[in-house]
Amino acid sequence: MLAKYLVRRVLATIPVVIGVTLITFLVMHVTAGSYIPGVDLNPALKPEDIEAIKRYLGLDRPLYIQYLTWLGGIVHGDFGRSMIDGSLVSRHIFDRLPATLELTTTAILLGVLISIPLGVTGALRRGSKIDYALTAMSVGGFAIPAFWLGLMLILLFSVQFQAWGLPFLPSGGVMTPGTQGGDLLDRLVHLLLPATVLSFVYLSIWSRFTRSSMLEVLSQDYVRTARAKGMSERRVVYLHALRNAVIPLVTLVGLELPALVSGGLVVEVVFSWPGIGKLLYERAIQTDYTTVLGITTFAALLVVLGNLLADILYAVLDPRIRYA
Amino acid sequence: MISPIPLEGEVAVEPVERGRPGKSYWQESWERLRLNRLGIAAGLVLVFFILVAITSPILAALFTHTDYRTIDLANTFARPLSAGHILGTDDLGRDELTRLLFGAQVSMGIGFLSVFVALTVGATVGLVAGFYGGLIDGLLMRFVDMILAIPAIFLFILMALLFKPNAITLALIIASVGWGSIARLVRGEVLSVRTRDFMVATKALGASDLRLIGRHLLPNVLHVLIVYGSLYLGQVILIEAALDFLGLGITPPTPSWGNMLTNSETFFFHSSWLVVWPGITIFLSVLAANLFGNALRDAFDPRLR
Amino acid sequence: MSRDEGAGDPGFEQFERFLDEWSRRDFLRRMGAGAAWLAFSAGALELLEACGGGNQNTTGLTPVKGGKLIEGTISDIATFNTLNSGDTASTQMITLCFDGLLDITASGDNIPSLAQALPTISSDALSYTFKLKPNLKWSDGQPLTADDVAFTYGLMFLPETKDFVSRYRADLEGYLQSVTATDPQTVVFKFSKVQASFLDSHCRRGILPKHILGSVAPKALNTHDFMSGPTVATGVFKFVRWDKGQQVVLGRNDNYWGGPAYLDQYIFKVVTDAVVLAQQLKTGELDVGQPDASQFDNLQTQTNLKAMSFVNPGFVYYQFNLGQGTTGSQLFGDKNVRKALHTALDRTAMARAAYFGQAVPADSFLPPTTWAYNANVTPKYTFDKAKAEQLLDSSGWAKGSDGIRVKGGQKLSFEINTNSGNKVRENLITIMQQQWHDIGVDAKPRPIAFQTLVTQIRATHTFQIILIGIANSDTDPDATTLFTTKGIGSGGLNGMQYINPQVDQLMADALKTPDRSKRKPLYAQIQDIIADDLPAPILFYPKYLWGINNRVKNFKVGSYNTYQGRPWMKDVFVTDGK
Repeated sequence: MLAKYLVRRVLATIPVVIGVTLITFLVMHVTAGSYIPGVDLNPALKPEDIEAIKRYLGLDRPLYIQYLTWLGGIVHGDFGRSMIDGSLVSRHIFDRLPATLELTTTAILLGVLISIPLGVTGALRRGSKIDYALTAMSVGGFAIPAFWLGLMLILLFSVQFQAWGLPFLPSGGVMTPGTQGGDLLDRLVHLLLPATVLSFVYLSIWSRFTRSSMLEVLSQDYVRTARAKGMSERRVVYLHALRNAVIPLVTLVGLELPALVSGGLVVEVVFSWPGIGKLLYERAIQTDYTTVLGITTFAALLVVLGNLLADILYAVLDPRIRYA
Repeated sequence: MISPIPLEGEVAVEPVERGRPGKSYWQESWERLRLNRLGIAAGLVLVFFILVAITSPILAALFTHTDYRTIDLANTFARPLSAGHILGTDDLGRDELTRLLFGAQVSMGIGFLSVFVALTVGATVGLVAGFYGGLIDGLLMRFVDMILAIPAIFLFILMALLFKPNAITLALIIASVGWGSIARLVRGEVLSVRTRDFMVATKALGASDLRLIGRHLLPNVLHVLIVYGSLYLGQVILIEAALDFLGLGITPPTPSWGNMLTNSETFFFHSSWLVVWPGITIFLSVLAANLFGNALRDAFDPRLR
Repeated sequence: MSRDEGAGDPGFEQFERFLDEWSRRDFLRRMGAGAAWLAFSAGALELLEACGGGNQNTTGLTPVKGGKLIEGTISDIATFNTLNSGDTASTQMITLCFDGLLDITASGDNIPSLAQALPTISSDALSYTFKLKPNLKWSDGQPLTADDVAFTYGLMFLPETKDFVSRYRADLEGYLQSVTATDPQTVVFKFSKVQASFLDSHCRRGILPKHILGSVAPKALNTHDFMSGPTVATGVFKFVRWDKGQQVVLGRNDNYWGGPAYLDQYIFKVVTDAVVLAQQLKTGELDVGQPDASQFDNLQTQTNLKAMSFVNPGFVYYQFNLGQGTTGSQLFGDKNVRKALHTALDRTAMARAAYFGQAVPADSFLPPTTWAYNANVTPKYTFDKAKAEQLLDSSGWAKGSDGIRVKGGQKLSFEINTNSGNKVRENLITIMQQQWHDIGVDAKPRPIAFQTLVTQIRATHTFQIILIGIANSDTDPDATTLFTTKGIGSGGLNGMQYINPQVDQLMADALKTPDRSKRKPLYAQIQDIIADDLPAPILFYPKYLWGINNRVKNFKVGSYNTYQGRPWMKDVFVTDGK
């Protein structure tokens, strides 16, 4: 039964993969057409040279052939080559991926670690001033543009602090220039501001969510029973209620996993963080369409794969799931 | 630019069992909403911004006596409350208040258009998929899966490059990604309503599909749409500002809150008010939309309070 | 346009490269950082002063060996391919690692680099002979010989290396016949026709190592690892590391022909934008860099650094569409209308608002930094609203009931475009709209995508006015692509479709005249004609701005010796040796 479900689930992913690649490919094709930056507008190239280059890149073939060729490459882990310098897109991706993961996982961890105590506090003191303050903060935090927050923090913690002669934080980058990046402390210092900004939104959502699910759990029968049995409030809250309240949060955090690759784009741009998002942005404005296409597809495939794994994991772990 | 999924999650986590909502349901909700002072205040702020957006040319003519394009190179970076400029002037000596008024038109306009399109498309797809089920459902939902699998911000950048956007195309670009989660949400609601007695009964009476969807299903998911619409409005305003920041949004001299904010970042040290005003309007409008959305949700689904 | 000498025009790819570069940088410069690049100064005089300013850095201090220097940049480099780099960031790093036959001074004069001296030129100007310095070595200790030079140039023009993509091929194929190493220290260039621009345009290209790349197929060279991480160098520095999107690290080349540099390391660090760059200059996180113009006044008050500005060899201009049958030609076909529009612009105020004063109102398409600049170009234009109105009145454009001028039922109403994302230019067209509105002209400012803009200029010609900029990063004054009929069409920049046989003739004559003293009067004449015909009024010469930390000495940036070459780099040192 389980095996059959798994097979079906995997098979169901195939059309999604094809669809995703087709969508990105078509969007890109409409955007770029067969335009090649640095070639089409390069007066140093003669028309026949341009033709030759296009032939070399396979741009003279029918669209579906181009798509199939490209798809075939992806199956082998080849996400194409840059239109600008002919470099391998997959190499760019793997050059940049660690920085992005470093940033986004830190932000998500930070979000989880801070939002749970905040949410619990809010729920336990429902209606109190603290609760209102926390709610206001979380709602407010959700309304601040991330790029603006980032710039303001740079101005405060990097620029003004320095002007005031205080210890200050670096305004961007993953490490002090010229170093190899082996110094853990140096990396953490660089990570602090961007991770804070990125975690801000998560924090807003998750603390509110923890609060409501905590409230809900606290009103459940078993909690009331536990209380009635004379269990200490502390034990009730932390042993029983919290555990059950946090489980739905796990699902919610799981929903953000796709953002591991793409979620930090704006923050990466603000903090010159050399990640995937910044790579995509840089390449997009250089009209390096093939690279943009490769990155987008890579990110989308990760999401599809992630969803698949999550479903399989649920099916294996939770016997209640019906294999429909 | 975070997807609004978690908020949606909050709405969807507990599908509330209820019968066919009669007048009394909407009335009850309204009663509950009325008691939520914060929610009402947020709603009023939202209405205020909408009115400003609609009447900005009139307001400008009445109060600031200038146009958002009028340049005064002799009077750049005028401080707030200086002669004739309540909120000061920008780097080209343009009246900041006037630009904010017209910026409201652009930012709120994009917000509402985008919400409207995303809701319409999303609701239609969700209703159809949920109602018919089977192959249609499968196909539509797989398509939604595909759209949602591609990181939204990447898609925005791609499409903003494609249609060097004006306000309308920008709204459509944002909506073209946003409808997916709405469709999913609506479909979920429909599935829970579809099998209920009144639906089965109406169907047995020979009602047409269109009538079933329009008269019976839609009212049952309407509250979800309203709540989500309000929350999504806030998202769209933020997304638009972020695209302006990336240089892919509204291009000057047309003012939008996002590009006003982005363009004035440079002057933070000597003319901080230029960063403050658009920041405040963005913050307030998004905040109002979120709070109002939350209040609506509380009113419709009191259990989630 | 056909691929005759016109396409082979050397100024061409410089324009092209610049255009490429602009589109990219402009985007990056979201926060108005655009002003930085365009930043400016006051003129030839100030330029000299600025270059002299380098001397202020040259104190009587004894140079200190060791330490590193961090330069800020807002765009990462793209490649180390010396023969196909299209952006300023890459070009700057390449010139630090690869020397060419010649190098360049602040005023744009050629000086010998790998070559012992300027070439010996045959009397018919069809043969140039270069002698290399003795005992030249690659950083790996291998000798650098005339074979390396012949190999490098061969890649750019020989039919058998066609699969290697070089930006310079089409140009060189037009006149370069052969490059021969006659002995290990001598290389001879032979031409099929006289090309006055050859030295300036091609003799500073970095030489590539034949002992490493000679056996690689030309096609494979395009994506060869060497092009993103060169293993040997001839310049002051050699490549160490390139962390994409973060930094390029270069180390001292101990085999440098001029003797080893003082610095141990040179780091090119990518920062968010020119505003942040200015802040990091203040805090000392960066040693040198080009700040945003909006921050320049503030930087000048800093005691820990020196802020300097000098005129950039380039200009910002707007072009009228004069093509047959276009709306533009109906509106602007009359020379007096163009003169009226230009006279109505208060460029001093514009420079103050859009450039924070860091740009100089221009009067010729050749910047004062070039030897061919005509300081007495006539006519010159100054802001005079009354005169502008009078010119329009006498040309038959009378104000209608709505205040907009009309002639023969047609309103003096049009769109003015520039590339979106460049805040300075967006501000410029916004101001122009206002100043023209004051004389009854209705201009609608609209920034559009750079790519669209280029298509408009080169192909579709549906625009009315386009504002754009050009950097003559090349030192040669030729402007065939810009103002002659050869520049109309796919490869050119004559989007105006300006046709003047006299200009065509003068420009062609000038290109066949290697002697500067004879060439200069020709360009003086062209400058006068263009100033009077006004197909494309030149607005400003923007300035380059630099912030240089006090601990850095001998960092002698100047108009021409900063981006195309840095012959002074070897002498740069940091006083604390860190």
